[in-house]
Amino acid sequence: MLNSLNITDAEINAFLHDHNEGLEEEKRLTFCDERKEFIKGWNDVQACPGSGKTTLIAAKLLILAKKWTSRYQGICVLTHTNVACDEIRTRLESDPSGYKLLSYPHFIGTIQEFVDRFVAIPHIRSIRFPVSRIDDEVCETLSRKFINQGTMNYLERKHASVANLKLNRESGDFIIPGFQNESTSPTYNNLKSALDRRLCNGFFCFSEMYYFACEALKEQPDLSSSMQIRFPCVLIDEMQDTQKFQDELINKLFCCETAQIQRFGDPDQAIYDSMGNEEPNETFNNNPELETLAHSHRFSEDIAQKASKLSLNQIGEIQARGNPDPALDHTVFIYDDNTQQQVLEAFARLVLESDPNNSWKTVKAVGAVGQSENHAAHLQAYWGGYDRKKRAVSPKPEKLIDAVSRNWTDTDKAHSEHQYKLIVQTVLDALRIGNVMDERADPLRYFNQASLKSWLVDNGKKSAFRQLIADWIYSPPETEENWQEQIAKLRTIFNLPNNDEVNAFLAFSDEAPEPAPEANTSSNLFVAENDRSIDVATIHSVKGETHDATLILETKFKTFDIHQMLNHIAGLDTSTITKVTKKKFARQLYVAFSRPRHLLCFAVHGDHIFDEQRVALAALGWSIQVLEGGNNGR
Amino acid sequence: MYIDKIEIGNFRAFGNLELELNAGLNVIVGENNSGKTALIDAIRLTLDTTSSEWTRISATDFHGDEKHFHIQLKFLNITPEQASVFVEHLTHEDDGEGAKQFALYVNLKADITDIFKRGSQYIRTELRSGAAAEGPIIEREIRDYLSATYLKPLRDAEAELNAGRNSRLSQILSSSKEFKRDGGEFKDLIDKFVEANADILENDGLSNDKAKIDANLKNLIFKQDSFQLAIQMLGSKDFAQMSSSEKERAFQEIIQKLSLVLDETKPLQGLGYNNVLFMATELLLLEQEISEFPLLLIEEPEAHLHPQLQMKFLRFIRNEYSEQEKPKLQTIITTHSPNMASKAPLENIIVMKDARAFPMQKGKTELAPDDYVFLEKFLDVTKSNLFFAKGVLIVEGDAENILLPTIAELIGHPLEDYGISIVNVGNTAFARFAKIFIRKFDKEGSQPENLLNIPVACLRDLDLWPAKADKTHQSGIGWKEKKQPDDNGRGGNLGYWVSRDNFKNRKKNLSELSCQNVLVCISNKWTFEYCLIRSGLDELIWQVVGTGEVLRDNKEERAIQIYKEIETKSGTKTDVAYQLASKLQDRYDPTKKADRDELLGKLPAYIKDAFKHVMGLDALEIDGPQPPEAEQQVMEEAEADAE
Repeated sequence: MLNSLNITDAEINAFLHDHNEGLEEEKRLTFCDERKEFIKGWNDVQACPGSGKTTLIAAKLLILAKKWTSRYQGICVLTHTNVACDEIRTRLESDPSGYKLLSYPHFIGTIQEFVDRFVAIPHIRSIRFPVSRIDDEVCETLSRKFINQGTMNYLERKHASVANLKLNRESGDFIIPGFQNESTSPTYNNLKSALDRRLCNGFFCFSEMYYFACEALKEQPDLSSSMQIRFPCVLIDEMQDTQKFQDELINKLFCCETAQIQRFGDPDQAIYDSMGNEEPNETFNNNPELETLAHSHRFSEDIAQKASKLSLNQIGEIQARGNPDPALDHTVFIYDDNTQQQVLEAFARLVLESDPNNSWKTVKAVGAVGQSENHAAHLQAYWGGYDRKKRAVSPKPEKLIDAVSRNWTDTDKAHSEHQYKLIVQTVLDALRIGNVMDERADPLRYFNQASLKSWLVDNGKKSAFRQLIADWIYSPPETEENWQEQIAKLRTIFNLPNNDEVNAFLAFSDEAPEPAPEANTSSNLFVAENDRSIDVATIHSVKGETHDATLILETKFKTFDIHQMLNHIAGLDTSTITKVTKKKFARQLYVAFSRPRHLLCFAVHGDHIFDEQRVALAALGWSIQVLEGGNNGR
Repeated sequence: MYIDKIEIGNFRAFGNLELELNAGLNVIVGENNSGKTALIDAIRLTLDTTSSEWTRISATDFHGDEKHFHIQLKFLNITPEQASVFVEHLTHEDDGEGAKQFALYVNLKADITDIFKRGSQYIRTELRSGAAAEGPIIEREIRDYLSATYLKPLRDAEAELNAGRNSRLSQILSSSKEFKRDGGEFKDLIDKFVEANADILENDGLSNDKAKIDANLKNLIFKQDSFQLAIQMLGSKDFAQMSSSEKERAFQEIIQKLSLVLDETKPLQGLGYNNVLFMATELLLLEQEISEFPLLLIEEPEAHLHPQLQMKFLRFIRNEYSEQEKPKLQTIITTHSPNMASKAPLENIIVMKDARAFPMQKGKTELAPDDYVFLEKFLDVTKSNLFFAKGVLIVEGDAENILLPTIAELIGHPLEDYGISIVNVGNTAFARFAKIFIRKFDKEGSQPENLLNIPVACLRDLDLWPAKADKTHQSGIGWKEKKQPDDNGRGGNLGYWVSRDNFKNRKKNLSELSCQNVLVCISNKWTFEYCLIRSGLDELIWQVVGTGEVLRDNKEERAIQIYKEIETKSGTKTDVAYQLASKLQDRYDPTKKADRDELLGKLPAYIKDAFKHVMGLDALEIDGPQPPEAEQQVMEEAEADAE
């Protein structure tokens, strides 16, 4: 077995040969010796922005796939986000041997999906609970339905959130928001029974799955041996965002003599670190001996040098591709209270100057904070049109008709199977809103896909339901009359109650459903006077992206981020950053600064920049553009 | 890893079946139409098999008018290696000792729809894991991993072993570990063939013929066409020049040319030996899978095998694969053969009856552990037919064994017509044999549908001596010695003599075994023969054993006189039975109702009770006039004697 995990230079060369066949000179792929070593070896890799990490991982997987012979052992690829996972899948899909990796015995998915499927769900099945849905938001909505008004009022008074009504990830104990200790009060009992009912219905929060996974491992020590046999090699991408408890679980599952694990990531870009008060992993992010992949394909020397000032690990200069284009002015926009709203326009003008042929596709303005009510340093303050809600990448239908309307499904996978699933899921939501339960279960349970299917069969309503969905997919309703007819059918099939909530969910709407957002882009599109459009987005949402030009806008979270980091950016301070807030700012800005291929700009309030810093920035090659009241020029 | 439990709902004859299997050998016995094949098919449909037999669900697989069936197999004893293959499908269960163990449930669900496809109703199937079939869908690869080796009954072994496209032999050789595609044997075989092919090309006969064909061809085609004609077995490429798919094609072509013959000097063998040869070949494949999940399903291996070969076959399976402690693989065999059944340990036998299964495992029957040891020894070929019977008569001597079939025939109820076996167990082992048919239940289980519905009658002798048999009795016909106990109340043989207490106790003790479908039928007097004499066959028997002695008028005294001749002359019991059987046949004609009724009237009640029980009849043709031996009367006589 292990034989097929050893990759030779010959195999890498053969892969490159096949890959490059018929490609134009400049599109051909090559690997330097350093990269070949990472493909051959199993050491952890710190990959700087634009270093072609995903290409490297995909190449390694394709080489392994080609020689993979085992029918019952597979390769496990874990990522932190669905975006990263989809990116890897897309690269494999087009290759015949890569395609094999997308199904049994292999696994490619997020850590959460992996833990759910291989460890937690089998355990939940074993303790005879159903698994209907794993989703924090759905859990919260469901919990609300089980909570009475008195309890809601209590939670509000206590500033406690229903979202926290869940199992403790470590102990499995009930967490009852608004209460420090156990209590016999009706409110406490109401919350407790709500949690109980949610679990009995098979609805789980993401974090709860880790509790069940740990239980499974505790009770069944052989499980990790089985896992190591099944997956003799594991590749983990976006390792920097892996939280400590996830890392520990992965180590419990895979750390052994026989399993090969290779982890890829960039601790400098660890911006999910303190999400949900969870600690970041230590084995990777705090490992001083990570081997680095510092050579960037993304940007030229001038940007590399500017971004690496923010590298916490001080991995040294990012090595850049090619020479800088002297025609590009990497600019610092200095604004005041009156000119904050002119920053985007100024940036748009610079973009037009730098790219007169309009060949840049991705131009973005990013900031850490989208909206805030307490101060004026957030994205919306730069552009009133910014709306945080539009940010969602995979929007959830708010009404049944939203799921039915065709545009939703064009987002990623434009086939009807995807739409079918979405509609069924939304019908399940409707049933939950209407409190329609599976009367065959004792105690009564909400439907899940499987029980819905069998219920339809048992009640002879399957073909009616299928017909309805087929109508929706192939000829979406055009008039309200048409829609109400179909809703009447739906109501008869399930005997949905006639109350406000249900009616609202099933209501007709001829508003154009949101335009199909392109995968991974926000729909917050600022169009400047010169017709150049700029995507305005949060830094979190652009992680992993490559832009042509990026403008970083100063925002405030307790303090002003660029202001805090300006001495580092200007090269005036090269000491190691130790303060927690500053570390966080550094990582965020590092992610932002390392996006652009061509043009890098940032904007800072005039009050936050000192003369000394202006001079130092200019010396590093930055252009300074001051935006003054009433004067739109330089 | 083995199948621990199988649950079937609404599949063919099974309305609802739950069966626990042994980790090693399982021998499924039972009469025809009891569900043996359906059980094997349930497993085959769920797991698929490696053999070329392909299985498909059809509308007739649904029980009655049901629209849905399900089959669940539960696997236990799963190693971490095995678990790794389906780790996402596992269920973690208590192992009964406080720890957790891996369990795998494989659920096949089938629904018959109203949609017609190619003229037959479309059947939707789904294979899922999970104890309640709530797990994910089981991947094709995992199903392959779990697939069983299946040996079907009455195969055409010769055809399977002959050369030919997709011959079974070529399939087996193709997956043999000897021929790893990167190994030396694989290359060597192709090399040799390429070499031989090259030699053939040089054969003058062939090359001359080729030249002639070529000449003809040239005349038939256009000038521009150019072909390289060759007469060959294989392409002319060397191993090194072949692509991997060309190598595979060459290898397949070679092994499809091979046949397996038992003895090359005598290529045509009988069906029997060819069958053995076929099974031996299949086992080659199976043994390669030992580390994965080897399951062997064999249906009626006795087809074409004579009894001794059957027994040898089962011993082979038992010794090679099914060691009780640590079996190498799980085997499930169905059989009709008492020879096979007799060679299987009792606890590995599963009796099928009316589409229900009755495993003979310890704890499932009323048999005690030492009963298993005893029966293992004494459940021989002749007795093993009880597993296939619709009713069983357990008797204690040759006389019953010889006479009961004759009597049954003469009263118009031949035992064969009812599928009844007689088992002659000698004196002591009644309980052990009867308990094979008595199920052990926990508190709730004893509903009638859980009973093994095979009626069993034990014919027992009362074995109490009438007072007049005492040689000191005034009647002067006795020969038995009555011994009084000593002063301490010990010894003596008073317990053997008819008395109210002895009669009651004896009846009570013997009938304790009556339970479920087992009925103990006890003679009201002394022995089987004595009862026949008393109930009216005295003259006929006297014709067999009679001496010059004058018989008394008193019925009892006369009976004792006659019976004395049977009991006191050693070895005569069996002889008498044979002779009496032919006397009966001479005297009674079963085609005549008067004869049947007369004989029936002369039968002791307990024999009629036994017949009715095992034949499942409320009454024999007529119950006949009751002979004067009602229990009350016996008691009165006993009292009179005792005075």
